[in-house]
Amino acid sequence: MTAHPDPASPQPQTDPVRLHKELSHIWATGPGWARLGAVNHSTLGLRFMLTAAVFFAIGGMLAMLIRAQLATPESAFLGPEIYNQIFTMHGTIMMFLFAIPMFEGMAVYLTPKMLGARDLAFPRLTAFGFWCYLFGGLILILALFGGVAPDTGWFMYTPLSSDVYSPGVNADVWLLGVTFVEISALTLAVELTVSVLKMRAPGMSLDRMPIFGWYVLVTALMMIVGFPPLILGSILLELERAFGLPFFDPERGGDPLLWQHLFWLFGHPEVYIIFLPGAAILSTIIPVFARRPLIGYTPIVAALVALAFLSFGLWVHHMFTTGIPHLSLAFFSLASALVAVPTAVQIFAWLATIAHGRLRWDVPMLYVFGFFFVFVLGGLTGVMLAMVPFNWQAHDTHFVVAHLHYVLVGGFVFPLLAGLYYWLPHVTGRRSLHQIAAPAFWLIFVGFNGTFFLMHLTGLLGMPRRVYVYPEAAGWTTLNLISSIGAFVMSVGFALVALDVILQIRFGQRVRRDIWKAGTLEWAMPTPPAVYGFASLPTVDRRADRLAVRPLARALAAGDGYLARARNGWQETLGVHMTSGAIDQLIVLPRATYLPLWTALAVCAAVLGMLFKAYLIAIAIFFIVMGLFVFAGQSAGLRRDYGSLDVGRGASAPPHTEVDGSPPWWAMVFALVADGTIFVSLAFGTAYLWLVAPNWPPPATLSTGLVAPALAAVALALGPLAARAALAANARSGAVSPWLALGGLSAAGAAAGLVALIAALPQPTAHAYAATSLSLLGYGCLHLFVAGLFTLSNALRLRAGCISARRTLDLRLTRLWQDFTATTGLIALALTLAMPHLATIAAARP
Amino acid sequence: MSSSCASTVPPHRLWWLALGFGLWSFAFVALYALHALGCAYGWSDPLLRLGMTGLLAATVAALGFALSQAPRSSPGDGTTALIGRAARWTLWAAMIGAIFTFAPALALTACR
Repeated sequence: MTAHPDPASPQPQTDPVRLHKELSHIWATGPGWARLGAVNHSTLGLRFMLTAAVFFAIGGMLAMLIRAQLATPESAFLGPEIYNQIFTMHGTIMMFLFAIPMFEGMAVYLTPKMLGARDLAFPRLTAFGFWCYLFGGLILILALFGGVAPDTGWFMYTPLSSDVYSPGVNADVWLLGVTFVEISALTLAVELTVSVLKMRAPGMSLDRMPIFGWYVLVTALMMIVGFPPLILGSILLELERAFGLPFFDPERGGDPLLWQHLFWLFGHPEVYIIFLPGAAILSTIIPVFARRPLIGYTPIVAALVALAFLSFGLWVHHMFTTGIPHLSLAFFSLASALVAVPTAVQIFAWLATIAHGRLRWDVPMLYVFGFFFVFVLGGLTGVMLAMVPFNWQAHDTHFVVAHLHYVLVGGFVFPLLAGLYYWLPHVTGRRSLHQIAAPAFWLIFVGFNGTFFLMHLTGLLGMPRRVYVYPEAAGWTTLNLISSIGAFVMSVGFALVALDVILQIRFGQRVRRDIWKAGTLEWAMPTPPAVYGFASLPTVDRRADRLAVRPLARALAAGDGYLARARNGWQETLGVHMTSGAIDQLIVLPRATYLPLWTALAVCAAVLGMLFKAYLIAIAIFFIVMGLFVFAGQSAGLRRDYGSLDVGRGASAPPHTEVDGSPPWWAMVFALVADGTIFVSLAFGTAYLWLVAPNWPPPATLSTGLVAPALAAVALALGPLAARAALAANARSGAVSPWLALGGLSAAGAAAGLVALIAALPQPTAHAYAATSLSLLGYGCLHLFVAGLFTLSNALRLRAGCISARRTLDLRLTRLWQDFTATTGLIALALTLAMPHLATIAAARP
Repeated sequence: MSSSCASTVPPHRLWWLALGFGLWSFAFVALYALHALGCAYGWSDPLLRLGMTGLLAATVAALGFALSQAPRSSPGDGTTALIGRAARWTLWAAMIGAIFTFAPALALTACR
């Protein structure tokens, strides 16, 4: 949002060619090095998917090495050290570098197109997310090539991953690299949530949204709540490894099971976070090939909501053998069985749609068939594993390996390949050469079942996971050999798919738009799409999967929609009311910039600094990163009031800078939900150790007077008051700066109080009690520091003319942050002060 | 600001979609915590069971109350109808889910 032109409405543009040229000029990314500054969702979506595909290939090659090793008993192909790295990296890559980013790429590419917007809400954030993903992934892959890759399993259980048993840098690579990648996941989740809720075509009320939009929304919300526990767990484990804070050390009041709880609070929803995008593809594709609308739209929405919550409620089913009381196991066992119901609702809806339609077979439907076969088998073994007695027998055997591959490959990879063949013509403007596509499918299908079906049997015969050799006398040889042959057959199938894609891009038959006769908006544009997406934005008057796409596409290209003009060099799209889809704002998006790249590089440098134990350098770079964020904020928004602007078709709307419910506001709300989840997880960890961990009570507790807590509490409460006063002063065009200064001073005062309390804590390496108290207070300090940055940014933007009585977004964001900081800070303070008393109660545990 | 579109439903009504299983999740975590607390501090079996049964009853009551207050789905297929139907279905599902998942608290040995 860098242009500040004359607000007068330009003359309407109706010449399609001229409109195309002008919009292309505004939305285009420059050539050569300028490509590194791309923020366009089509470009970045494709980059995400291409990068994820490369990581998938690497992960697949590692799988082939595993299968080569296990093909014969007592194999000397790989040694145990390298084997440990390979199976750890296979899981890590597939989960963190392939599945989630592939969903993100698909959602980034498709969501605006399917919802009738020109881009996502925060293009610079999309780019930042991509670079974080790429650099984080490269750290992990380079570690693999350097022989220092993580080697303690993809779920990094402590104490194996603690510094006592994993003294090298391997585990640090995982903890820091994966957390770096998760920044990308969280930023994209926030962006997708806001985009689905606020950036749809005019008239697209929630009930008219294509079902794909509901899936993206629910998946993104699950990511916002699901990823923070893992991020917190990784930070705590890294703090233990780097500085000796004993969160997971039972000899000093920690508990290894805390890691499992935090990991699986992420890890189980993760399974559904991976499955739901696959289901989104299926719910979109099946009605097209069944030639009838999706049956059960509303039940599917209800099932998605149920599934989102239930998937969090069964994290302990990964911990059935850890000694948790049987009654609790029963709760989680039944919850695990219950989650099959909303999954089944979707499966029956798809089957009903097929049964009541006139099915048309094409390559995507082959993969849909593959999905049904594979995923239903995986779901059934999932119900088996949800039963505690069976789980105890099959735990940590190859049966579990088979189950998870049936679920994840069936639930994500098969639908993804269906989606690939369905949407690739959208990307390339060409269609597949079916002579290769069908054999590729059968090789994958047969190879997959040959590999993993037999693994159920190997597991039931007792073969444990993660062993690099097995004795010939165990009787697993034939099954393992067939599994390995199947794996290589499957990889030939994937290679054929890759070849098919290349051939399609290079030699595929050119096709007209909407080759499948679909009814969704992404086909109402040229294929391949123009950089601006829609030349003009459509009005939606029915469910947006039943549209007459071809005439609509012609009308939109001719400018018979909203925003059919190039104004002020702005990248414009429309914001709508969350539920009704009524236009409520004109959103002006930022243009291409290198800032996301530089910021991600700085974050990468900070991560590397921590990896190489250069903590002072890492802290210095952290300040640079914060500075870059403040700098990025300076170029956001518009520098003057515009009032209501013409958006075409006789409608008008104010720019997003002048409304209350703009995308940045909602992004802050959802970012704070993620942040709050980290805080709740930290509070849970504190309570968990107090309640369950051995070697409590601690030998020493906090000893402090009233001054520091009182200072912290009063100053914390003052922050939100100062933020409100600043808003009130701004509304009456009064002096805002004094209130900003008060906000900054209150943050400094509160931080001083919290630091004084930190200084009064016993040695945090001595016992987990002090380590958790330090974490709670440190969390508060970090947020107060950011509150100071908000104040600084407000002051700079006030001086630059970016804040006015109409443009209050900056001050309202600061108020939100101050409210959150005060709330969590006061809870952290209360918990810290209460813990010494609670610790004495811990002595009463039998 | 103008466009042709469906009737306006306040965004806060979307919370109804999350209410049923939100309550279920809260109660589920509370049940797990109560059980852990009771076992850790050696509460008597009847006391712990009474607490867990009470939690089940409170959850069912809260979900029942929510059902009585849930938006009615009007005829047609607008956003109001979508939210009304989906909210009621999720509330019913959460109630059945609560009874199903909490039921072991009524019968199984509490701490072993």
